[in-house]
Amino acid sequence: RSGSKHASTPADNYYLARRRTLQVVVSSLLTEAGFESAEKAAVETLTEMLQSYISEIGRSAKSYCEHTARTQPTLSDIVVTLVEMGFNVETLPAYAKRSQRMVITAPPVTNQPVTPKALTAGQNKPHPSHIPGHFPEFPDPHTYIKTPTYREPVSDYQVLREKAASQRRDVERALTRFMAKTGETQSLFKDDVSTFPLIAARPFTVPYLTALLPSELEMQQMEETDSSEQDDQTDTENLPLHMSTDDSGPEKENASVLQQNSSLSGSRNGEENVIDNPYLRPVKKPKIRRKK
Amino acid sequence: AVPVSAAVAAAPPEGAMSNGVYVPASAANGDVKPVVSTTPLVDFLMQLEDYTPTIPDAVTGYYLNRAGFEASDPRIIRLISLAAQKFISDIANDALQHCKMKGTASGSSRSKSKDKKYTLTMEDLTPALAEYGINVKKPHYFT
Repeated sequence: RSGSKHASTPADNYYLARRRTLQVVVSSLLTEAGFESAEKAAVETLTEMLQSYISEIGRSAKSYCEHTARTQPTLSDIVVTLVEMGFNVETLPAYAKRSQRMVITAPPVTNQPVTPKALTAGQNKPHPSHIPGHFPEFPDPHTYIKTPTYREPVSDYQVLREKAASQRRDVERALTRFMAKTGETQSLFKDDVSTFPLIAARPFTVPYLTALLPSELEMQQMEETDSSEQDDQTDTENLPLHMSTDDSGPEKENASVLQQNSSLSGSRNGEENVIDNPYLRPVKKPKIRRKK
Repeated sequence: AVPVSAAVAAAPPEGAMSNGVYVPASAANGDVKPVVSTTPLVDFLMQLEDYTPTIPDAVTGYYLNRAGFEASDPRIIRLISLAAQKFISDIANDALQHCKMKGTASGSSRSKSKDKKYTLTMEDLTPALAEYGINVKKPHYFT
């Protein structure tokens, strides 16, 4: 029972309608007794008592009935209940025949609100077999079915070219900034070093060296394809031959690296012996042992 | 009426039977009188169709269903509603007596009888209910 004036559910309305009927009944009984008017609190009290009296009779009669292993309450159950509640049953027939009797009309039965045809969409899912028929129906299918939609990708030539160009520019910018932050930089402005860093230009003394020297991967492949030690020796001999013609100042570690048959990418950073930047260290490939 | 009579006939064969109610042996001596006998009520139930109680069957049935009571016979519902009505009527009559007593106790003149307009107030209802063992305490004012 809600005391608020807000919209109540059909169940609340159902309850309130019957409660009002009880109030009307109480009022009629008071009129029969001879009262002209009554206080609201008194009527409320009697209504509450009437409701709980009926409920108690129902509950108690049911209990008595079930106490004797039956399910359908009979007259005897009710008589016993009334006796237990202190009601004098013998006076009941006399009371029934009293002269002034009033009949109150029952509250109207309202049907369940049916959604109009215009608002229904689609066929409701029928009840599975385990659900009783008097339960409400399933909601409209559009409330729980979802179909995913795909947005067509943009295929306009101009838009695509613009996108490709801006992406390329962003990638270049990011890469150059990265190299500037991790490597050596030159700055255009004397005072401001960090604003526009340029990647330092360190020209190789022998620019064509990198083109002539085989890369590490090629070195390994050459190792594997050669089946004899002689081939290995010729390889190692060939390389120092090339090396001897070069200016070995900045590349002295190259020879040592070559003789050890280890990585060659030390030629890129001519000045530094140890590369402390982890991103610039050469890739260590696992050595493939050739079974002899 | 079949279930009614069947329940009454289910009494065990031993012991004295009077008015269709099983009376234990001790009661036959006269120590305990059987208070209730269902026979007149069975007859009454048949006549109940003529007397429609004030409370509609739908309302009584609604409250009985809420309590778990499923009535097989609609006349049973009428019996219960009648009993509940009588309950309230008795209280109302007692309250009327209180009201009348208060009116005449102050010694009003005999020529003019107590005015016919009786108003049920909480002051009359409370002592009437107290006789039934129901104590109500309502605040005098509501803030």
